[in-house]
This record gives sequence, C-alpha cells and structure tokens, in this order.
Amino acid sequence: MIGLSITILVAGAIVASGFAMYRLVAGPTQADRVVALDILLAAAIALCIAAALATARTVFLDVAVGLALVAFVATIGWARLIEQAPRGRGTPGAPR
Amino acid sequence: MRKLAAAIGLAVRFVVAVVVAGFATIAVILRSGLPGRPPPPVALLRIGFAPMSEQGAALLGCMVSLTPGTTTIDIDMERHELLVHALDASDPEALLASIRRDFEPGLVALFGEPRR
Amino acid sequence: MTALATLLIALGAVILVIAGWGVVTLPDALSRQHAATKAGTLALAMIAFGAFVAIPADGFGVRLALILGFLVATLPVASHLLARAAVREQDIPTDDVPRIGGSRAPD
Repeated sequence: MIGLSITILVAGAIVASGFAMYRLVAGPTQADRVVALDILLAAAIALCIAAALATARTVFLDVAVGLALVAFVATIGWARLIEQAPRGRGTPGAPR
Repeated sequence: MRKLAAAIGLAVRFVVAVVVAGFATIAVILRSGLPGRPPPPVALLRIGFAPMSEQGAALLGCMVSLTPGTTTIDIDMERHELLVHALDASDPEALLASIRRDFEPGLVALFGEPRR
Repeated sequence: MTALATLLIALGAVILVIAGWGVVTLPDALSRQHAATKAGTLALAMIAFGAFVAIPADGFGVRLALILGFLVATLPVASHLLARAAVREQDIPTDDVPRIGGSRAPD
C-alpha cells in the first residue's frame, strides 16, 4: 500500500515539475518564471517526503524543512530584483 | 482570555478557508482548461478593511493571499485598503463578505487600532 | 490506516499535478500565482498529513508540522511580493481600480 502511494507521489511530482519546466522556459515575463519556481519547490518537497516514506528515515524530512526555508528566500530575492530592475532594459522578455 | 479565544477561532477559520481555497482554485483551473467554456473573469479590486495596527494588516494580507480567490498585491495603510487580485471575480460582493465574516472580527479583536 | 494514507497522498499528488497544469494553462502571471500558492499549499498539506498517517513515528510528526508551518508562513509573503513585482513589471494600472466596501468597522 505504501509502495503504491510512493509511486503515485513520485509520478505526480515529476509531472508537476515537467509543467513547471515548461513555464520556466516559456516565460513570457520574469514573474512567470518565479511562479514556476514555486511549483518546483512544492514538487521537491513532495519528493523529499516520498524518500522519507520509502526509507522510514527522518533525514529526508530535514532536507525538506531546509528547502521550505531557502526557497522562500530565493523567491523574495528574485521578486525584489524584478521590482527594482530599470524599466525597458535589463528585463529581457518583458512584454513591451 | 478574549484574545486567546479570538486567536483560536481565527486559526480554525483560516485552516477551513485554506482547504476551501485550494479546491476552489482547482475548480477554476480545470474549468479554464475546457474548450468552449469561458474562464471566470479576472479583476483587480480594492477592499476596505477595518482600522487595525500594521501587524494586523500584514496578517490580514497574508490570510487573504491564502484564501478563496484573492491574492494581496498591495496594502494601503493610509486609506485602509487592500489591493487584491481576484481569480474568480464574478461575485466581488461575496469575496468581500467572506473576508469580513471570517477574518476581520478576529483580527480586530487581536490587533484593534490602539487609541491615540 | 494505510488506505487512508494512500488516499491522502494520492489526492495530494493529483492536486500537485493540477497546480502544475494551472501554471501552464492560466492566462497571465497574476492568475498563475493563485495556482502555485493555494493549490500548492493544499497539495503539500495533504501529502504531509498522509505521510503522518502512514508512519506516525516521533520525528515524523514534528518535522511534517515544521514543513507545513514554514510553508503557510512564507508562501503568502512570497506571493504578495511576487504579485507586486508582477504588477510593477507589466505596468498594470492600479489607480482606477474599483473599490468595494467601505472602511467602516464591522458590526
């Protein structure tokens, strides 16, 4: 039973990160790419939980805790960068 | 004691709202994928909120971000307004009513405007 | 118990896939934000609860609660900053946005 749920979880995380990858590449704005990063973070945490379930060890959950903290910093940093970038140049892919 | 009760009530309502919001968002995503059905209208809205301290306003903004249909874009402390983006803006009055009903009473009890 | 855990985890995985699909299919950056923030949080909450039901060991519960706590505390802040950045980046006008409801205190 647990094996089945781990399989479903890993498959779901891989499909979701595939979608996120598409958005990460396609853009079209910087904000879209950061949103895709959020989905990648969720998929990564889901994979950490799957690894913890498969091995019944808590080490992988520690990794997930760290991820949840660090990805937040990354998102905020990127958002500040977008916000303070000069208009018209320095933001490739911006629709204008 | 009243503050404790308000905090607990707020937390319970928040958890319920997060679950409802998740399923509502999923419904919108699935509907927008179907051909032929127009997706629900998207809109920016300003929502007035009751006077409260800055901490309360920040908490309200975070809660609004995780609850049905709305993401906070900006908080205007001068005019007591939240600038929100609504994913399903077909009934803005209902959005307003749910925020008023679920979050404002608890937040006002916790972070009500200090008398100056 | 394992049936409940499998159900929760499978549901969480399906919601995660739908959140990813939403990021692909929704029309603009602000709408995609909703998919990533709300559906992503709900998916991870369900997966974490499922994992807790599956292996209710000591270390598991605490760490899963920590993950959920950090996510619920940080995702809305990140989403707020990102939404503001998106509005500034795309120069979406916000001055003539209709205001609903007064600023009166609720009864």
